[in-house]
Amino acid sequence: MTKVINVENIITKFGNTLIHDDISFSIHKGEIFGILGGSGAGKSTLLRQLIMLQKFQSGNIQILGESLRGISHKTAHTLRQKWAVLFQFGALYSSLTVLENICLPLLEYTELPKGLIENMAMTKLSMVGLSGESAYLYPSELSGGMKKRVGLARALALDPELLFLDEPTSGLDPASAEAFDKLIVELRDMLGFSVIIVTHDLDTIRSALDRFIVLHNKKICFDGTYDAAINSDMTFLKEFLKAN
Amino acid sequence: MQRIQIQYLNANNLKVLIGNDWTKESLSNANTIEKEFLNLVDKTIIFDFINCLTIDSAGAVEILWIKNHLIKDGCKITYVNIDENHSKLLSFYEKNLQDKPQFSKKEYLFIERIGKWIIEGFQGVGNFLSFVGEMLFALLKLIISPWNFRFTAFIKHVDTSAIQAIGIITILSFLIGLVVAYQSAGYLAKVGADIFIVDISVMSVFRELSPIITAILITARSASSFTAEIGTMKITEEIDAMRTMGLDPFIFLVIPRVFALIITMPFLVFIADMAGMAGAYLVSHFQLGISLNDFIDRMYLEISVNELYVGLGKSPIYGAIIGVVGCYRGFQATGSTDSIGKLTTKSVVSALFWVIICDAIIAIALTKLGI
Ligand SMILES: Nc1ncnc2c1ncn2[C@@H]1O[C@H](COP(=O)(O)OP(=O)(O)OP(=O)(O)O)[C@@H](O)[C@H]1O
Ligand SMILES: [Mg+2]
Repeated sequence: MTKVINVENIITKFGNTLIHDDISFSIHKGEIFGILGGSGAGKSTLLRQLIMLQKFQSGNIQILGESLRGISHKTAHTLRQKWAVLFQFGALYSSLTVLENICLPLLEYTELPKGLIENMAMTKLSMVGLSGESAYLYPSELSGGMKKRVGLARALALDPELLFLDEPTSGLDPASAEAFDKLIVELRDMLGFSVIIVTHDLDTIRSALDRFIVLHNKKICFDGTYDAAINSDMTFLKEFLKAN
Repeated sequence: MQRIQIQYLNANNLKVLIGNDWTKESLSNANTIEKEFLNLVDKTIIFDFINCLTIDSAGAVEILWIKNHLIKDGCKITYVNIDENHSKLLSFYEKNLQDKPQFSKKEYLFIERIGKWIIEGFQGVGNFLSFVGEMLFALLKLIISPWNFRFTAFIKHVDTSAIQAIGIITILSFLIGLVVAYQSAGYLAKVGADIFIVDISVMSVFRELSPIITAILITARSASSFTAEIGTMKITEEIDAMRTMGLDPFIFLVIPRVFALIITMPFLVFIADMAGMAGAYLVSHFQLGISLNDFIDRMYLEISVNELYVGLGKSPIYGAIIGVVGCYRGFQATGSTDSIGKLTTKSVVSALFWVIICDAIIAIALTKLGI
């Protein structure tokens, strides 16, 4: 299996507070990978480091074969087109309609004709389970769950190889959350991208993740599958998976 | 390599060779590809994928679009030599193909637009009046229970809106005073009425320039920030949160801001007066050789103290206008963040508009009263 992400000995500090102390893990192609941990464990920080929004003090991260340490602007730019991020609250552009939000990356990065771009955007909208009626709505006219779906449709616009999701099911009702998990798995099976999810949701952990790490005390305290986690004899891990 | 190659097997049977890659990068000429299929009616068409290596979402959507178009024109389509992954991909996207709905934006007739405009105008006035009403109601509550006045917030706004503005107000008023005196000096020297420079400066600076300059600066600084602050709180539902906790946003947000401006405006205008006169004196001294004593004597003896009072007296009204308009626009924010930008612009423009209207009314009224 090829590694799409390889994280080696990451150390992160904010001022004098140590957040990550020597963290290493890797993610394989086509895998749905979870980053778990208690509140304040540094999950979002780690995700932001993976997508080059935040620096790390030492160690290295390799994504799709490129090393993020000392990366050139040009490589960073091409790399950014190969991944997509779904932020926790969708981060849709509020001055654009749903359709325009999804079209934006296609208009910016491809030379496709407008008609094809709109057909693609409408298809992606349907892939995330939204009907055409929402195409001309503005983000402020959408519910929280719809925002996430549109955010996902926008993330899928450029057929990313990597998909980063920050708490994709938080704030959704259990049925929608389950549907969202299913959607992610289905899309992965179909399109073959790798998915990195930061989550607290036990249902997601059980049903969608192939493998996950758990951050605890600034270190990775577990790296493996759900079955391995519940059968391990670490009390913290059991509590963590139960308490969630 | 061509994206597409059409071969006629016979009059009614065609074979379409799909090129090697159908991706976002290679489909910029999708429109010309589509054109080749426009006139095919009632044919049997084979899509041959033998050369096709990669298909992404753009390619799949394009192939499906062509296919649907042909089917609509009565053609029969079959795929041959397609690899299993591509076939799965195509059927996955086919399931999800949906048309863009028609965007029905109603076109209004000219007369309808005028009507709409008038109605919106009235609604605007109505909204503003109900805002002022709510504010007066909050004021009434405060008169009944004055200990609810948010003193800390008030002090904070006095600091940010007034104290931090003193520097810029002083500098600008000084320059304006200087310019006015300088412009008049040449003319007055010509007619030998040097000392009248004091009269002119006092008249213009005390009565008009200082209050207006101060109002303009305070509008630029405070009306805009009030709108942006309150608008953001509105959008992030902080104001709703306040209301549900039984806290009156008018008492917490509006009254401290408006009062901070009402109370501090006269002081700011007074500072502006002094700075303006300093500028005027500088010109009188160096251009016309008027000594400080003469300058001050003239100010005391000849000039009615009304000039000062009029300027100071109207400044709290300006403060009230700026504060109320700034807060009112903030409360109008809805939904998206870009409404805040628009409202901030509106807030500055309408605050200045009303300040100047008010100035004109006061000027006329005072002339009629002979003050
Ligand atoms: N910009 C920053 N400056 C200083 N400290 C920060 C900053 N960002 C995050 N932190 C600290 O880093 C730690 C990890 O934060 P992070 O947001 O990654 O947590 P998290 O695991 O995502 O938690 P949650 O599940 O609550 O979202 C926290 O203790 C936080 O206080
Ligand atoms: Mg977080």
